[in-house]
Parts: sequence; structure tokens; C-alpha cells
Amino acid sequence: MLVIENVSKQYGNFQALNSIQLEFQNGIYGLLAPNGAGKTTLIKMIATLMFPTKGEILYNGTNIVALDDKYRDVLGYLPQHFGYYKNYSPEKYLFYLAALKGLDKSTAKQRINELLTLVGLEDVTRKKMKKFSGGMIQRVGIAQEMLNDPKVLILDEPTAGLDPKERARFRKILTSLARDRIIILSTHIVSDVESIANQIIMIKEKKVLYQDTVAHISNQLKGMLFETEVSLAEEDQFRDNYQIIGERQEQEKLIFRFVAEQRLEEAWQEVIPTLEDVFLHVYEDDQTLAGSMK
Amino acid sequence: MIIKQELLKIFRLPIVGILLLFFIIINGLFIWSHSYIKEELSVLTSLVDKYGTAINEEMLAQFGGDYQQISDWVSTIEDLNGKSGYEHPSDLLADDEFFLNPPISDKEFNQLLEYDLIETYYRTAQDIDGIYENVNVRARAEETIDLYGFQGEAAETVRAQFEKLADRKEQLIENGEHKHLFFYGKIYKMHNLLFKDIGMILIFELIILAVLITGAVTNYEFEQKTALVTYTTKIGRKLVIPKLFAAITANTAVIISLIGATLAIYFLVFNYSGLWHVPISSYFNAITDFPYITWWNISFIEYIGLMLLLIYLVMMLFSGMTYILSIWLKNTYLVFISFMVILGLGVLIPGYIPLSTNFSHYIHQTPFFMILNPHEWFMGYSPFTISPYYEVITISSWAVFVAGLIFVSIRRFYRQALH
Ligand SMILES: Nc1ncnc2c1ncn2[C@@H]1O[C@H](COP(=O)(O)OP(=O)(O)OP(=O)(O)O)[C@@H](O)[C@H]1O
Ligand SMILES: [Mg+2]
Repeated sequence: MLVIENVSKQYGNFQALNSIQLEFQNGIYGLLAPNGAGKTTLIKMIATLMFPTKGEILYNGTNIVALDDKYRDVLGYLPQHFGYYKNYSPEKYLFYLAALKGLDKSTAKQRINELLTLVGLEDVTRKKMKKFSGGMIQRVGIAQEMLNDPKVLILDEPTAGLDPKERARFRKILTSLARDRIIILSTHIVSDVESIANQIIMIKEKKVLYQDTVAHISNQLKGMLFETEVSLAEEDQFRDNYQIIGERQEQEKLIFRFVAEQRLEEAWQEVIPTLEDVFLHVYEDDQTLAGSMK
Repeated sequence: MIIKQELLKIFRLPIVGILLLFFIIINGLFIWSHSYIKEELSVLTSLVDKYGTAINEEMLAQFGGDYQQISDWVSTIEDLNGKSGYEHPSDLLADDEFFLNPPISDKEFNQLLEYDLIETYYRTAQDIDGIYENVNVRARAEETIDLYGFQGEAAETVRAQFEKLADRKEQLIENGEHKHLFFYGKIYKMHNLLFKDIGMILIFELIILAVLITGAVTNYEFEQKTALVTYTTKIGRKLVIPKLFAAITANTAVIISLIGATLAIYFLVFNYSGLWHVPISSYFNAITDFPYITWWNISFIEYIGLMLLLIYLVMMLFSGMTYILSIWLKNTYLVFISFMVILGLGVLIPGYIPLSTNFSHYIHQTPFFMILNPHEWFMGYSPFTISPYYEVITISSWAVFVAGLIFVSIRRFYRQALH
């Protein structure tokens, strides 16, 4: 079990995270927050690259810094910007990283074969990585972090830059890895985690807002989310009165998806809220959200 | 295994191989540009073949007998005015009538030029005792003190060292270290060519290579943007330790290759046969009236060995400093520039220290200053490096200092946020 115990992180005078309290059991956790919310900051602390200004991170009850290589031995980490040696083949790079992870040669060879097959790179194991697409590099990244069969697997925005097909493939791979380990996956794209995460963690204003299942979080908006048709003439006033989460145009009419305390008009259709709705609602007035949504 | 991987990273850097090759070519050209004196040098090696290197009564008698024949031949040659009876080849060559229109064949003239060199060796060999009687070490101390402007305690230190050197000179005369044939220093400066010019070139080339290699391998993960991956593996940040060993190994290989190739070229061009065991303190090595005096009886071949050892140790110190800079700066360009700045300051700063206290001596005990005069290592010559233990003290104190800083830097790296 991994516990984030009252962790705060300060960059000079800037507070990036404030009193974060989280617990992870085996399963997939989606760390869902907009750009700049502090996802990478939290993940780098879990990866022992940075250290909390206050609080501590415990693995099975012991501080991860004190555990030192015993903790890193069960850690798999895919950074937001995964670096690789451009002139190496995936096989050679993985051999090197396997050596750093303390695997002996024959174990490494077997693992590397298995993993490169799992991520669908079995045909290019000896090709130089400088010719790889972003998706292929990301798959090397997943293979890399699985080398030591980690108990704590963290991925920082692993789907950034991937096309929808690669994203789907990626979710499939992750689900296949999810047994017997903690997987923490950060993203600002709801669909990456909605279907696969056991729990969603949302960070807002440097603090944990939710750590709960998708269903529970979605329920936050139950009875408060509606759709209705609005004529073009009423559009501006409607926008001023309600928090619009989505809109689409059908012939001459606009259809708005919006949040209200309660149903005020007959014409309003109550709809079942999704995680995306909650996400948009929660970060509606969040400065950091601007420009980040697709 | 990990060290091997780190070594591969170094030797895959094209710059290392290219620079190494480039430096070997440069050094080869530099040596070759001096090769025109080869023929003249062979006059001495032939003499050594005949008489050995040690200058003693028996040798001088034998040498003198042969020289008499030269002298006899010279005395028979007339210049155009019919003047003859010169005793030495140099006398004949000094006669302009003769020199401008020599009434002898080209072959004979060349022979005469060679005899002129033999004369130099013969007459110098005879004069050595007298020359050393006139070498006044204490006067040299005062001249040096005046020249540099030492005062007070610092001047006393210089005086005390020269006092020791005066004793050493007596001992050297007793051993007869100075009385050995060698390439005539005042003409050919072979000691300076090999140990000063080539020595310095080698040192600066090796500095460039050592800083590049050490910086590149230590910063590799940051420059390839793989630091976040590699430093979170099981070995984690301790990876910087195999990196240090890889840097040391690669530097050793580069030092051996560059020096090996350069010396191989040098000794292919210049024939030192019969001269390997000549003491460095031989009078023939001297290029000024104050001869080179090593603190111990060191032969030419031993001096080469010591030079290699010192260059190696200095390079290890520089590699260690580069390693420290790399741990802090994480960028090879920055590391390279910083190292050169430190080296420059290390060379310049001592010059601004007033020469009145012993601090002015201590501040010169740095590898930066030491590398400036490799031809004076282990010798009593210049005031700042005159102490017999200058090299040993400098290397060992800096080794402790650099090792300590490496330890502190690694400790700090373990606790540092990595981005
Ligand atoms: N090394 C640093 N020094 C100072 N401030 C930093 C540093 N790293 C991050 N920050 C700041 O901390 C905040 C959180 O950054 P962080 O990278 O953790 O966010 P994120 O949620 O990962 O964002 P993104 O989705 O863009 O990756 C941001 O305001 C950022 O500017
Ligand atoms: Mg981030």
C-alpha cells in the first residue's frame, strides 16, 4: 500500500501542492486534473525524483526515501517526456535499463521479448528508435517501466500525443497489467481513465478534491444536469444565467448541456451526468483550464 | 556490465575519436617539423656508439686521440689566401675567405661541418668541470629573488631551497651525473622540445579530451533527457559511481593512446639509442648557463616514466574536477567553459599574490600551475616549483581535496530534486 501522508510541495515561494492525503491499494488510479494542477509534481515525488516540502510518502508503512533501492526495485515510472537514446534500438535500450534495474542477463532477455511483444513492437526490436513514431516511443516507455515487474506503476500523461487508435490500444495494455499492482495514471483527458480506472483523483487549488469511483464522482451532478433547446435570440441571456458544459447546433436551434440547482422549466431534460461533465463543472472557473480542453 | 555500457556511450561519441586522431596528426606534424635536425643529432649518437656516454679520463683520452686526427686534417687545409694551420674546425669555418669559397669538395665540406659538431662535443666535454665550478647556486638564488621581487619570508623560502640545491649540486658533481654526453642543449634544446613543448601540447590536448569525456558521460542522462528514467531505476542515482569509473577508464585509454602514439612518432623520428640512461642533469641538457639539476639521479628514460605518471595523475585530478562540475551543472558545454575558466584563474591568480609571504608559494602548488613547466618537474630551477617535493605535495594535497569534493557532490546529488 502506498500512502501520501499530508504532503505539500513548495517551489521557492510558489506552493504547488498543499496537504495532499491519498491512499493507493492495488488497482488503476486516474489522476485527473487540468494542466498545471500539480500532477507531475505529485508523480515526481512518488518516483523519488523530488522530495515533499512537508509530509512523507510511505510504501507499506516505510518512507520511500528510506527504502531507497528496495522501493525503486518495485517502482515503474513513465515520465511525461520519456527520454531515450536515439541511436539505440528498443532492445538495446531495454537491456541497459534492465541492467540498471538489477536484472540478470537471461531474465532481462526473456522479459524484453515478452514486453516488446505485449506492446506490439516485436517487429522493430532492433530498429533505431530515432525512426519511431510518438506512439511507438510511448510503447517502448511502457515496456521499459514493466521490466522489473513493478508493484507501483506510475505514468505521467502517457497518452499525450497519441492518436485515438493508439489510445485505445494503450488502455487495453494497461488493463492487462492491472492485476496485483498499483497503477497511477495522470491525464487531463477524461476518456483515458473513465473506462479503466477503479478510482479517480481530482486535484483542485493544490488540494485533493475527490478520490472516488467514476460512478460516485459522476453522481455529484445528479439532478443538476440538463439539456434544452435555446433559440438564437435567447442565447446570450442563457449563457449569462447558467454554467454551460456542452453545446451543439441542430438546425436553427442550439442545444445546451448545463448545470442548474434544480429543474426550473418543463422543457429542460434531466440527463445522466458523466465524469466529463463533473470535470468541466469542477474546473469551470479554473484559470489553468483555459485552452487545455479539446 | 554497467561500466561497460557507460564506456560504450563514451566511445560512440564521434568527437572523442575525431579529436584523438586530430591530436595525433597535429603532434606528428609538430615533431616532423623538427626532424630537419635529425642528421646533426646522429653525430652525437655515433660518438656515443664509440665512446659511451660517461665522460671520464679514459673516454676523453680516446675521444681526444680521434679528435687529434680531425685537427691534423684541418691544419692542412688552406684558404684562398694560402692561409692554413687552423687547429679546430670552428677556426677554419670562422675564416671568411675559406667559408665563402671553400677550396675543398662538397663532400669534404660536409665532413668539416660534422667535425665542427664533434669539436663542440669534445671541447664542451673537457670544459664541464670548469663550468660547474662556476655555477653559483647561491648567486642564482639572489638573482632569482631580485628578478621576481621576493621579499621577507617568501625570499627566505627561496633562499633555503637554493641552499638545498647547492648541496645537491655538490653531490651531483661527486656522482658525475653532469658528465654524460647528450644532444647539445644550447643548440638543439631536445629536453625542452620533448618535455616542455610536446609535454605541454599533450597536457592541453588531454585536458580537452578528459573534460569532454568526463562531462559527456556524467551529463549523458540529462543531455539525452533520460535522467528521469535512469535515476529512478533500482541502482538509481548511484549510477553516477559507475559513470565515474567509466570516465577514469576511458581517460586512461585516451591518455595511453595519445601519449603512446606521440612518443612512438617522436622516437621513430629521433634516434635516442645509447642515450636512455643518461642522467637528466647532464650538462649537455642545459640551455642556459644555469644547468638543469634534478633532485635525484634520474635518467632520461626514468624521467619519461615520471612525466607519464605525473601527466596521468594530473589528468585524473582534472577528470575529478570535471566530474564535480558535471554533477552540479549537468551540461557539458557549461562544464567545459567552467573548467576552462577555473584553469585560467588557476594559472592567473597566483601571479597577483604579493611575493612577501609564503602564501605566494602555497598558491602555486596547484595542478594548474604545475602543468605549465613539465620540463622542470623534479628539478631545482624556478622559484615556485623548486622544492624537491613540489610535485608530490601538489598532487597528493589536491587528490585529497578533489576526492573530498567528489564525495560531497555525490552526497548532494542523492538528495537533489531532478527535473
Ligand atoms: N521546477 C519547478 N519550479 C517552479 N515551479 C514549477 C516547477 N515545476 C512545476 N512548477 C509549477 O508547479 C505547478 C504544477 O506543475 P506540474 O508540472 O506539476 O503540473 P501538471 O499538472 O503536471 O501540468 P501538465 O498537465 O501541464 O503537465 C505549475 O504551476 C508549474 O508552473
Ligand atoms: Mg505534468
